[in-house]
Amino acid sequence: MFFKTLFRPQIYIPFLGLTLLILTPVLVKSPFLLHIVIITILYAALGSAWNIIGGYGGQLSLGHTVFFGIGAYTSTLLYLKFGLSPWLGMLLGAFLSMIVAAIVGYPSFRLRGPFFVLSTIAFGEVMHIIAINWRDVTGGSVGLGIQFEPAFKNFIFSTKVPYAYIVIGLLVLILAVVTLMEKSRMGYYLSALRENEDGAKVLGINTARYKLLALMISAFFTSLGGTFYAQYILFIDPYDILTLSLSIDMALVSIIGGIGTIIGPVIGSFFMIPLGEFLRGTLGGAFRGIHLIIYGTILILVVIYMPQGIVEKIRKKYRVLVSKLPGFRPEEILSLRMVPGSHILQTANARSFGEHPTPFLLEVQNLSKYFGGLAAVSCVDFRLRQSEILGLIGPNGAGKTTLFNLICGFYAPDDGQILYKGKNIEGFRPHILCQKGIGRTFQIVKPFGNMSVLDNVIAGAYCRAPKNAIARAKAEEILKFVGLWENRNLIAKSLTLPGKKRLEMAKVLATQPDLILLDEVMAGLNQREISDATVLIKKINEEGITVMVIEHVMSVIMSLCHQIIVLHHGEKIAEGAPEKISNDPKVIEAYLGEEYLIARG
Amino acid sequence: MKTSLSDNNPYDAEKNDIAAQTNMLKKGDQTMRNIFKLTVVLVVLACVMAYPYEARTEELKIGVILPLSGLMAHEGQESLSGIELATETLNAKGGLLGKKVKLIISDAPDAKAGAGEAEKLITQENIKLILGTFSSGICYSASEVANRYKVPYFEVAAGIADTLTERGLKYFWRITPRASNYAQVVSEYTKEVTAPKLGIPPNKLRIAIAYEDGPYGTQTVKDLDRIMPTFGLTNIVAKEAYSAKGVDLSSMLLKIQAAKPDLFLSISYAPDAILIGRQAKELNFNPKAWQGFGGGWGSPSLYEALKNDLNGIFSTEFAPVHINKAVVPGAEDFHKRFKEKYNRPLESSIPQTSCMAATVVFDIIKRARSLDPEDIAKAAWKTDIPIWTTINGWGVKFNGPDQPHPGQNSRAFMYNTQWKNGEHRVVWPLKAKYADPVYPLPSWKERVK
Amino acid sequence: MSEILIKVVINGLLMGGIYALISLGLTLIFGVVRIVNFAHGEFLMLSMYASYWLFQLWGIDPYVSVLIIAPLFFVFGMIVQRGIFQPILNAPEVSKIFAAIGLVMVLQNLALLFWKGDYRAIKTISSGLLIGPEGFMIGLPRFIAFLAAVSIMLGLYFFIKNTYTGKAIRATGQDQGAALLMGINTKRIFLIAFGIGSSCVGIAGCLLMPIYSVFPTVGAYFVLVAFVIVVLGGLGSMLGAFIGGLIIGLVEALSGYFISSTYKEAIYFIIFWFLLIYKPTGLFGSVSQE
Repeated sequence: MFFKTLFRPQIYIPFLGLTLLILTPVLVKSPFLLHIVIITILYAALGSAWNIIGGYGGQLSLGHTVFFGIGAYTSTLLYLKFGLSPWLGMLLGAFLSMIVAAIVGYPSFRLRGPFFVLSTIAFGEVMHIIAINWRDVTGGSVGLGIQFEPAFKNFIFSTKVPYAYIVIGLLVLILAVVTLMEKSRMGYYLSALRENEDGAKVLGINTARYKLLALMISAFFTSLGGTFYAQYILFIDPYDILTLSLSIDMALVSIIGGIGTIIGPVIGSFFMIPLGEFLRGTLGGAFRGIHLIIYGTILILVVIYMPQGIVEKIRKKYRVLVSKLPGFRPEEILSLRMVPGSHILQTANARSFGEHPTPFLLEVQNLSKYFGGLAAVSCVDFRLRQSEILGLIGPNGAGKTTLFNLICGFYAPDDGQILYKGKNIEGFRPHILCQKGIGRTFQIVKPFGNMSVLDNVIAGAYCRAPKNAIARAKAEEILKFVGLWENRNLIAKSLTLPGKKRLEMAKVLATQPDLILLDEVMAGLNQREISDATVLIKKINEEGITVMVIEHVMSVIMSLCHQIIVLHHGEKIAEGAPEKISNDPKVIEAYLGEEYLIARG
Repeated sequence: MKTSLSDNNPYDAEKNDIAAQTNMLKKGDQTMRNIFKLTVVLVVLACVMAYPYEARTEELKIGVILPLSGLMAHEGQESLSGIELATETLNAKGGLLGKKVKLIISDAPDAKAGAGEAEKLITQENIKLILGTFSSGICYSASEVANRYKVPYFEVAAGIADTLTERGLKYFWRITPRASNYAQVVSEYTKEVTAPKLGIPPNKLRIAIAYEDGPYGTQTVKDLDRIMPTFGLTNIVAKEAYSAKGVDLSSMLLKIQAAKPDLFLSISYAPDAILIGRQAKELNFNPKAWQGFGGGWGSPSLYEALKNDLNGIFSTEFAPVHINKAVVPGAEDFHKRFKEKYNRPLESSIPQTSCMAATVVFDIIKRARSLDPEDIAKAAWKTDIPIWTTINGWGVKFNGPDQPHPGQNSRAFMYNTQWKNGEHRVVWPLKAKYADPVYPLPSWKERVK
Repeated sequence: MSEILIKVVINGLLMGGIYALISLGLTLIFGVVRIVNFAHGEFLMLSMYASYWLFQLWGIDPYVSVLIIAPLFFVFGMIVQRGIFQPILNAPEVSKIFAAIGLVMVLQNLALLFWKGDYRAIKTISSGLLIGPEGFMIGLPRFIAFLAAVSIMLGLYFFIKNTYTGKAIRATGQDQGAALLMGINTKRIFLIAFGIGSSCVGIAGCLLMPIYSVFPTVGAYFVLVAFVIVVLGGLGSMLGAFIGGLIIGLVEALSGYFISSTYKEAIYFIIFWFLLIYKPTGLFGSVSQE
């Protein structure tokens, strides 16, 4: 089986590339060219390592120079002071980097967007200053030189060829890890949290843990690169290896090449590094700075006109090329076998509910939440039986979504408690609650825009699926169930609004919830789409899933719900069966105003 | 070796054009000149792209590695101008070994590039001898590579770290002084001149040191720590490091001011020296003597910024302008030639130094009669140029392979100078003295007069 | 002892004024347009060069050149926003940041190409002058910079509070989407905000020329501290940027005096890091935090 796959272009083209890479050090006779090759591959490796957290995880770090520096300084210092082989020092440095990544990353990941970027820059600058001033250990700004004593155990070689193979090995190792990661739970989770962090949390993804894990892996490999650099150049100082510009360069090759793709950093590096060397070589001597002007201009043009990087531009051509090569068979055949199974939605339900004596799946007691002085939710009580559909209505600003956010763990209540399956769920974070069986959708849809529809759902399915194949099979079934099967290969952001709303439901269903909270899944839909959605919700309920819906379309609420709760100014003003609610004067007053009530007599 | 430089320095065609064009423009209209330069740049760029460079066989190629872009671009360019002047002089006299010397210039803004450029020069351009490098870090990695290929490497600019000659490389020589000379000359001068003039015994003299926390400052302070006690200078009342990238040094100066030093030593680059000068004036910090170290304290931009507020401040220099002409006759001539070629006055001591050093290297090649590394090494070890015969006064005699710091020119030294109305006048060594030093440092109000 | 401490504080506050001056423009750009404009430092560098050349070629004092440079940089800022940042308004964060980094490279090296790496400083009538009581004299240029920071802060504060455009800027900074729905032409507001921000840094460049020397990388000395201040003070908050500047100036001066000058930067970066993590809205609550 495996042997046959070797004859597919999707497999043998990368292998050809790899072979070419492995042959380069033998083919390139000029040491200078080989030097460029080594530096280029080193940057490809560093860019790929950065890409794990920066590209896949979407956490734009400009502090990676710290891990590079830790690698370089650890191995060099251990070698100079204790004669420890840099091979060992390299591993120790890499582990140290992982520890530092964990300590610093954990608090930093609370920040988003530019604030995270700035915090990583600050971190890098602090380390730079420490390296300059901790003279007894780091040699301060004078730097550390390593004596040129070629030996394998010294990690010093008299020719460049061994260095070239070491750095190729590093690159291949990183690429292998990234490739494995991309099609695994971690890859899906990282992409999901990059695209939408809240959306990822409600699919049971522990975003903090996966970001940290990605950063630690990234730090590990970056650190290996640092040791390699120190052993190759044999001189380190804080201005060469602990600088913002190095962090920028690592990210830059990924961005030029294509962020969040396996091959992107490699392409970016193979394009930018030789170009930079060439420009400096031909122009740098005569006209200072002009090579950096050109370099900077290319960077600006790429981010404006090719925001997805070079990879995006050549991907289509590559696919066409691949499809014309001998041995080509479409990707589908390579995909994994479907796992049969019916009532896929029910499994979670059967799994755990029977243990608890209470007949109520959810009990909300005296729940309150204040924003400043304003009570968004005030002393709300209600109980929800298993397999019921509960409608939550009320005018805008009544506190409906806040109530959802409380139940799902996005907000902590100021008062009262929530019992789920008879247990208090206070303090549980959203991803834990999802794992316990509470799923939700968002009023403003949060699709993972740049992932395919199928991948969106797979990210949800991993919540229960132990293996990749099972996650994929479940996702495919759910797509059929909600009617998005035809669109499975579309990029999620290209879906229409009804499609996106449907995708929201599909993602949640993939986590196999016992209780599903639907926040205005009908808003913005036309009559036909509304009735489709109503049917879908009924179908979900028939599978045994308890449903809570926020909706403004009264006809839907009336036909769908077993029970209805009405919120007004954060307070529960009515509760009961649909017909009771529709005649309740308090409800009519809240919705239509006192005048209407008086007019009606 | 006679180093009187001839006046005959033909411009090459391109530079002639620029010179002609710029003469037509309003004098000092730098912007216009630069716009014009840009046009030239673009044209040349096109040419570079279109026609691959072709080496002519009758040329003797010598490699030059300098930081021509990046943070040290200015200093790198200054070093290059001196080497170019030396080469022009040489070629005007018929070149070397019957060939014209052609400089193959490489830009290496950092240590990594230094190694790469050395590799490139040696393996691509087939270079047999390299001059460099201005920066110690770049020199460290570039000379390491050159040595591996047995290509002689001469430091002709300010790659001054002591570590460079501590490595014992077989094919590395440094014509310029090493960093510890800074500490040496300052300690010596303080003991011999400053302390007696102030009437304070050396061991009672209150000394405060401010130094930038880069390699230059930290290394120099290390040397001072080692050397000052040997001259009895033990009363250090304050020692403050600061980042040369800092934009406010008032708190550091106040701390030093509070220590009431008699002598203030400041090891700085230009922007921080400007800042220290200005903020010291604001804080009325006025020690009895103020010794700056070269780099920052001798730079022309410092004078632009502080003008005569500098009067009375000392600065150590490689190659000063205002020197006893009877002792160092070549200096004035060099300044004239520099102005002719570059159409601006000499701004720092770097070109003079690199010109002198490059000339020495050419002399070594001449005596070696080939670029073979062994011949060059033999000729280099035999070099024996007495002091006061070159354009900046130094002699040349390299430490032998079995001495400490092999390859270091033992006849290179620093001058100490004092600022007076825009001139830095040599006060040390006494033999080359241009004027008597002024003590104590005048107050800020008096200085301007 | 206490006399010296007073001096340390005075100098810290004066430095804080300079920091505030530079940060005021940035807080508009970062707070409203949401661009992490690393090229802010290079804008400063360019305006310092502009002021330098006006002085060298035509003898125009930097304080007078404000009148030329402020409008010039307003236009320059709008061109940069229109040409570089507007096309990537909806692009991911990373594109915006790296567009700014590309701009840093281009501007820094253009300066290197045109004006070389020299440190250029000028001595104007004001640059050596001292004012104040004997023993506590301060440099006139620093004092002027401080006053300018106060007046720009007040000017922008009232502009944003009271004019229609100002209110639109504030609204856009708080919620771009809502502002758009309210009929505000957010693209135009971005252009104006970027222009005003650049104009402020243009003024800062002129006022700094009598104090500092200019060279192609001078911007890098100021840009990170400006970001620290903007976050410290809260995005888009003028008062925040001003007080943030003073705080950082004081922290620097005190840590320089009591610890060591070489650790100054590390100390405020550590403060910044903890602040970011434990109070990301800045000390003064920002008008426009996400």
